[in-house]
Amino acid sequence: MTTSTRGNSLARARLASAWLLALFAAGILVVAAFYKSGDPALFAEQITAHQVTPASWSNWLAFFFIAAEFILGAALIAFVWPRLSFALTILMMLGFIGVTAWAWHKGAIRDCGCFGRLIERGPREVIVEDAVVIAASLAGMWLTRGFQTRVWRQRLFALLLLPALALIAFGTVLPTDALIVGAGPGTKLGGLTVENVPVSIEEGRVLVALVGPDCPPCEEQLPELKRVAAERIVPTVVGVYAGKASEALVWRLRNQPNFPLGNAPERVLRQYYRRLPGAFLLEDGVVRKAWWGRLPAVEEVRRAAGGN
Amino acid sequence: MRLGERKEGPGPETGLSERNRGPSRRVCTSERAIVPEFTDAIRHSRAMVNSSHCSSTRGAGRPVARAALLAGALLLLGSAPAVAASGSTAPAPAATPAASGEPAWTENPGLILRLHHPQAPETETPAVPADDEYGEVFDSSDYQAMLLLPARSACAYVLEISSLKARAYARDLVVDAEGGLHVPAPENSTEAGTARADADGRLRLRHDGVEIFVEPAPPLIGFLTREELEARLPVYARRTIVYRPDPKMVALLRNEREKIEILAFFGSWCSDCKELLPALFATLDAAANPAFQVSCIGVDEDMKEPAELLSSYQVGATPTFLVLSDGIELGRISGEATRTVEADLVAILTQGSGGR
Repeated sequence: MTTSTRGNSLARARLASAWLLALFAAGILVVAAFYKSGDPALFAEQITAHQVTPASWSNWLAFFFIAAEFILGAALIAFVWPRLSFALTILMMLGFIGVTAWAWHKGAIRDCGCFGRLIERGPREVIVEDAVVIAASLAGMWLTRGFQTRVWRQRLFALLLLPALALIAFGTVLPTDALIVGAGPGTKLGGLTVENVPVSIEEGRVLVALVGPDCPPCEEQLPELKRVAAERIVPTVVGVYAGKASEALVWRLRNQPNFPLGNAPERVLRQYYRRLPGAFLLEDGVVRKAWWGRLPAVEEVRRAAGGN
Repeated sequence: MRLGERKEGPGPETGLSERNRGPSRRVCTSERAIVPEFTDAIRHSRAMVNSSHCSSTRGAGRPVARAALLAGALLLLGSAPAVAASGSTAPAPAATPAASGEPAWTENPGLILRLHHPQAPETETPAVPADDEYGEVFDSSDYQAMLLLPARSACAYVLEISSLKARAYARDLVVDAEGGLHVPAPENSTEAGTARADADGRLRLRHDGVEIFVEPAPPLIGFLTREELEARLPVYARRTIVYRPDPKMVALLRNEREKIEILAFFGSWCSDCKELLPALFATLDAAANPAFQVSCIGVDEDMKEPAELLSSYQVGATPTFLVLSDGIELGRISGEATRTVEADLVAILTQGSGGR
């Protein structure tokens, strides 16, 4: 009797430990998938940058990994087929480690955007993190030996898949730019370097407008920005073109902005938007207000700048 | 806007400026370009000699001789009015921005001006193509016009962005003796044609047989002498002149006896480099110590070229100044100076000599 009770307690403790480990691994997977689902195009670019698979595969791989992470995360949270879930997690992490190490060795990557722009990590940190998830998953596999999945857990898993599918389908249009991009109000835009402008965006109050190629709204909404510059609603307006300096000059000649137009390589500027155009009102380099997917109207800038 | 290299003190500059307080109507054509080119070449070569930088005095000397010969020939041929028009007697000073509401001009750090003179003599500096002259591009305060200012030629141009129509001004009317920029009223100019915009992001204007290009500055890659760098990107020379290094640090650097080589990795596209590298040049100029030798190494935007140098010296950011003694690295200044360039340099040398 006593032995049986103790055995039950131990089994419960073992399962509880395994579930905590599952939640840990699931947390990593779901958060990563959430950020990737908000900007799968960026994730696809990051896959391309690793130079392991052909660039034409990147979009498909991006959606595959987003879906796989969500599904594995949901399975681990619901604790269905835990040994299989842990095993698949280990396989995925081993794959990530291999790809990261390969790209690192080739010098193809310097940082990893697996958590969007929220956490900037180098390949070393990514490998360590994945190794920790592998260790947790191995322990989880050992602790869940002989575990039988109950039906209610399968239903919970099915239920958890619904928001995951919704995020996969609609993640790009959800108004989560500030979260995904990680440049909401109060954020210091320290890493944004605008080349070829005679002003610093880190001093004073500056409206930074992001424009780029193949962006009809950038040109359609430009007149409002010109008014902002002409009426000096903020002391400095700076345009940043996502591309080469030569392309920026062509854009300038076509659209004739009345403010300086610099440029930044698209791979760099891409960290600051999900879609163009966009704008930040900065105060000494800190985001005071952000406009995502559009340029601000005069009155909006006036309000944002005036509310000091 | 001040052009630092014009602060060379009295002499021909002052004289030129006084002469230029002048004609209410002076225009710029190819004939009239002769004397300004002559005087400007003298001024340029003198500036080079005085400041011990910029492109070779040898290179600057040739235009002087050439311009003198041409000027003499034209005078003999009766071009005196043109000479007078472009340089000597003259009333009314050029309007200042404050006085006339003339727009202030801001340097456009991303564009360069290149003038292709088909018959120019060859230079011996390989980084500067034989027939090309470089200059700076400035934007008007409303960004609807560009001022194109060659380093030596007699003409400056104002280009309207909307129409791409250009007007030519006598350069010495646009730049005053102290380096201020003042674009006179249009009646002091001549039409210089209409520029064409290439699809690849380049403006091309042809004026009096000279091909004028406004284009994004291509990255300078590989070894360059300081003279070559300053010839291609005059902003480095301008900022060198205005930087004032700490005299105490300069005094310490002046006493350095060991031969020190500085490898300055920079990006011609990098804005921080335009601050730090001139600071280094100015510091070494002030120290006037031949023990220091600087080699500039241009790096591309992706930090991939020149691959061998970047990997062998493990350089991953610009600017990076490697301080070497007998090929051994004593230290480096990377990205930004901890205090100032001169103070960091002294610190590296102090630590380095302690370790030697």
